[in-house]
Amino acid sequence: MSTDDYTPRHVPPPGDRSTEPSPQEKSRRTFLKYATAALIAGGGGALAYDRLRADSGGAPANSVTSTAATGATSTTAPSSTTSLPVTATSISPPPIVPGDRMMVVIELSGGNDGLSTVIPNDPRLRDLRPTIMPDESGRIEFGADHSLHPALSGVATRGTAVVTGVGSPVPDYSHFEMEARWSRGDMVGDTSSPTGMLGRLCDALGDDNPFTGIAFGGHSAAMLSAGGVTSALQTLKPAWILQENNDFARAMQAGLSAMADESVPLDTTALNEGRHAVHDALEFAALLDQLDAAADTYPSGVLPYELASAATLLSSGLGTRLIHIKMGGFDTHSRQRFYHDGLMADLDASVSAFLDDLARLGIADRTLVATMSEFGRRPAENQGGTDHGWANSMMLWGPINPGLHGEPIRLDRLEDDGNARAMVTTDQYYATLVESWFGVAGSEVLLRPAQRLDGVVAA
Amino acid sequence: MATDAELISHALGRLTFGPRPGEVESLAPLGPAEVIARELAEPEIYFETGDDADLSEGELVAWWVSRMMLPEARLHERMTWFWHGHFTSSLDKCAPSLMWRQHHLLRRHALGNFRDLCHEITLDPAMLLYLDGAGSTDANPNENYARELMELFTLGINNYSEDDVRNTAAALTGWEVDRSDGEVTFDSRDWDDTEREVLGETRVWDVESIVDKVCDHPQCPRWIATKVYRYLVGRDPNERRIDTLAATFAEADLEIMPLVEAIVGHPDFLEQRNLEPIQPVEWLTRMQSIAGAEFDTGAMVWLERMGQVPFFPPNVAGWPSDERWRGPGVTLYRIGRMTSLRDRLASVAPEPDAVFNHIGVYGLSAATALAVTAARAESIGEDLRLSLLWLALSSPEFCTR
Repeated sequence: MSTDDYTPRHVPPPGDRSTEPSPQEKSRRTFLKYATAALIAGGGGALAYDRLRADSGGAPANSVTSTAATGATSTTAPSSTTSLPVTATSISPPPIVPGDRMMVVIELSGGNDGLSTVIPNDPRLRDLRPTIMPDESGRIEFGADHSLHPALSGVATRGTAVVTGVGSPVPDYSHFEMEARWSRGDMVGDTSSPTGMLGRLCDALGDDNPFTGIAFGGHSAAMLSAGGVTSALQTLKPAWILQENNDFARAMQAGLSAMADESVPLDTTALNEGRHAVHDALEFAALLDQLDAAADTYPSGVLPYELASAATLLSSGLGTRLIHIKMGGFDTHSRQRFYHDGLMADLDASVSAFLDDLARLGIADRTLVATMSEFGRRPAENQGGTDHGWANSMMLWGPINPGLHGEPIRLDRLEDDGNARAMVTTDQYYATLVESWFGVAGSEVLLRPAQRLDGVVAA
Repeated sequence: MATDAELISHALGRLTFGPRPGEVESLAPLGPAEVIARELAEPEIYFETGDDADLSEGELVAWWVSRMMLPEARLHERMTWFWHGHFTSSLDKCAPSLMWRQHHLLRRHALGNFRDLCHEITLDPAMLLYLDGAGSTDANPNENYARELMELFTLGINNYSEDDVRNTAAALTGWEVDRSDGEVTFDSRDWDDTEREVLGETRVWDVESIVDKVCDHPQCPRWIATKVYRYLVGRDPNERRIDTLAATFAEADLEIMPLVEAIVGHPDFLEQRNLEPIQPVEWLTRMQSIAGAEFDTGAMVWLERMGQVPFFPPNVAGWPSDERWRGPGVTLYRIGRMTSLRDRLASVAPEPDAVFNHIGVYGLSAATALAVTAARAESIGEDLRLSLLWLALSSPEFCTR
């Protein structure tokens, strides 16, 4: 066999920058463009990363004093630092331009009980669910035929849209299967797309920026992109060593910065992508480090921390367009009243604080918040809880038309297995987000054509 | 011109979860070809003691990653990891005891016969549960496994029709899994035994004949050869190479070892270096081996942050090999993990001049050489050894394969 019977990977000759950049090079350039915009908006002067490089005798740019209202971490500026202090003022958002819309998706994992969240004013519920429903007196009026859970007063005041009757046309009652279908954007469950629906949306929005989509709180199959335009983060301080100031940390920072220094002539192209990765990571860490502390108006807890971080990221000018956050605990097979009341209260307080923060940051008019959940729960209660069901209600906040959308869940026509049929497909829900909010053609990201629901989003 | 040390390090990085400290030096006198031949001859390794069947999810993950870190874990381990990403199942849907059983099934066939592997995995309880073969009946056939069997496991898309999927699903009905003990049973009353056409042949089909049919399809050796080549070399083979490898694989009656030998025995195996980012499992096992740190359930958190946890594939297509593994999030979590092992790394850091060779990196790029100079200018004594080791573990040379 000869050694030439393969197709060489496209590698430009050393030093040749005139050829078409590789996708990775493009993404790096795009990232730098966004990063620069963010820092100009920040007005803080030198790029943190540049300071890190130029000022290797001192500490890296540093001294953001806290990352979130929870006070989860607190870094104090080292006394010997010579870097510019980062003030407590926030980085101003870049000017709003059409097509610069953003979205936060909150996945209510476990199967949120839509019938306790957006409650049909249907007397049948008293018989189906004698013990688990919120008191009728406390429910919040929501149109003529529905009420919201009593704990949702905060988001009700701020404006809530509901798309009801959502689900797969071919239901499945496995968490895994339905979460996988929602992730892929495959309402029937007959594809094996390696990407996720939200990841493909990021590909369509992305402009190759690696921070177009961020899965906050960990990886999500829904955020798998074809173009590497999503990242996963669990904290805004993923590499705290970069903020330390001691002999070891300084040597590390100097070494990493030198490795990422793109003014060094390239002696080999094969390793350049790895070098760009170090460069981008340092850049990213420096940007994260420069972010203003989140507002102190959030309650404590994981979801509020993640939402506070999301607000910070979205307002940073980093180029992030979509953030996925997961909230667990919705698989309420028993003691549902107790658990679900608590979940609704947490969700309400967190989202209310988030919406207020978005307004403070000046990005409320271009940030949509939408929930998803693998399936609804069965109308009839069972031993103080509910089993896996079918039709569900999704909530949206931000630039929406408040009120009920979709097809009301019919309790007078349950299926043989006792479930309520979903009349709006998950694909339609996605099409609404993709087309109405982002103006992206559904055919770019959906696996099947689907009719969007007009009037949900205040486009 | 690459040195023998570079080539040996590359080969070990592809064929094992190493190189481990000292390995390249000790093997260098043999030359790369002999090193590859020795790796191909390494014995398969089994860990079935019977004591491990009752692990929790986290324990099961830690159990396997710990075994990847053992010095005797070589090509066999590496190929078991490959098949786990090919014939995927997940703890998301299957109990740890069943995933443990499936793991040993993959281990038994990792370098065995593909047809045998395909037969056994089709009736593996975790696979039956993961892709819904369990409970699929003639009255209500589930197409999930039938589709993936052809699309992902044996043929690749566009080599079968929707009718093939439907008729295959019908043929695979009748199987059930007892979730308490994983017992697999067949009830012929739930099996669709009508004559149907699958891939151009009409007859009464069952599990045996369906698996043989897809394995006999001319596309099967091409599909598997392409995937194994992609895994071992780091990019797709061209059509000519696929033809050659598929012919070798088919002539060997789908024995996996001759396919692997044909791939790694070709000169391009050593020539094609630094093609793709190292993945989190590889990086973490190598780094922890170097640090001398055991892999426990706490370490698993870092794999989760980086987005690659064994037994939890992101979806049925397994873990992709692409740029995501050197995304900023993953890169920063690598730095985070080294921070949490700082003391351990400090205790094992060799003399400054020996750091890169110690972790298997030979032949530094100009950028990395400058980085070393910069770090040296900033630190002295113990700090220098640690910061250089740290830098080496972050370098493109170490993080690219």
